[in-house]
Amino acid sequence: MSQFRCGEKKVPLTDEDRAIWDWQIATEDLGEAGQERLKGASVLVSRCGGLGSVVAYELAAAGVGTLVLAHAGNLQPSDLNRQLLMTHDWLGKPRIESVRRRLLDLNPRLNLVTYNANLSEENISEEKINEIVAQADLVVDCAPLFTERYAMNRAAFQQGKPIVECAMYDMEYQITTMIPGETPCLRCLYPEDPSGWKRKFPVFGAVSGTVGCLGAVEAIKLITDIGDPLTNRLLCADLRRGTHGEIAIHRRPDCPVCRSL
Amino acid sequence: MTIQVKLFGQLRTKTGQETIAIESGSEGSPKLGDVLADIAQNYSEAKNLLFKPDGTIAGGLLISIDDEAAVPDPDLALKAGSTVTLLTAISGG
Repeated sequence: MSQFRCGEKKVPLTDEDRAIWDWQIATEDLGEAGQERLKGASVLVSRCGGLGSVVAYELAAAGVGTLVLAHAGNLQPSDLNRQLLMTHDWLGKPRIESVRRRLLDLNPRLNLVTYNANLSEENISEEKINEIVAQADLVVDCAPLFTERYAMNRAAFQQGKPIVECAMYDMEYQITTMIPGETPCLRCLYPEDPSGWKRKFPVFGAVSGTVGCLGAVEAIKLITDIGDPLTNRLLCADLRRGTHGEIAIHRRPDCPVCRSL
Repeated sequence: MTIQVKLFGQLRTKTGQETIAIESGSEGSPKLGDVLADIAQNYSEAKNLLFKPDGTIAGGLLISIDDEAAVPDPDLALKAGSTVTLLTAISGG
């Protein structure tokens, strides 16, 4: 059982909140106290593409109080098979504005902090990445490039914040929850990015959406202390075959990011 | 002795295989490095996912043996009946 707690801040519910989250509050180990934790929580989702759009949407639906979102660029036709917070009429316009609009359509009570930027040290300074991560209680990493994933991993571990690592390729996904001082970090798992990883990868929205839902569930569990997070284990699935399995994962004593934690 | 190797991520794409059975000689336990070298030899497009140019095991590869992540040590001896799983780092989002 993890000793980590990130949902300490509770915000009292209004009658309107109770009406909206009535069926969710019925979850036995959530209750109104858990919903107050969700309302008090802040989650960074970077980026809001095929995977992160579903994470953000599910967290907005669940009543997470604040979402910090980073996603750069203008909407392209090839985004529309998976980036579910985008709409056809938004082609050519900033993706992050579509994200904002769609999330507030669902949950107008949501506090949104948005960045039209991707969080890699090639794009913005290390200081700025630290500042963005500092606004959240936890991070859900949905970035398609390892430079971004490594940058968020460094910042989250330096600040003692958990990071849900979810990723997909073709019809496979991998997901694990990393907690500083308790679990491996991304550099423990993959010390270097893989040779030949390309920005364009084969993807069905249904696959990125599947792991996106799992990422949102992990964030909800961390905030509300429900169940057991996917710590020290990597959940791997092959949706082409409909199989999944777990791999026990370990910290590396020589990890440059987390060895001193 | 046969070692079953399961492949995920780009390794599956580059080899066109989901699993590979590797037969080892009768003398001693097969080593992890030998198994990876066997795959690299038979599927040349997968070589750079398994090894760095200097011949050490690639840093973007997660190796598990019987569902437990293993230290990427080429001299690691494998037991009869072991299943090696090779996952390349993926970051699709």
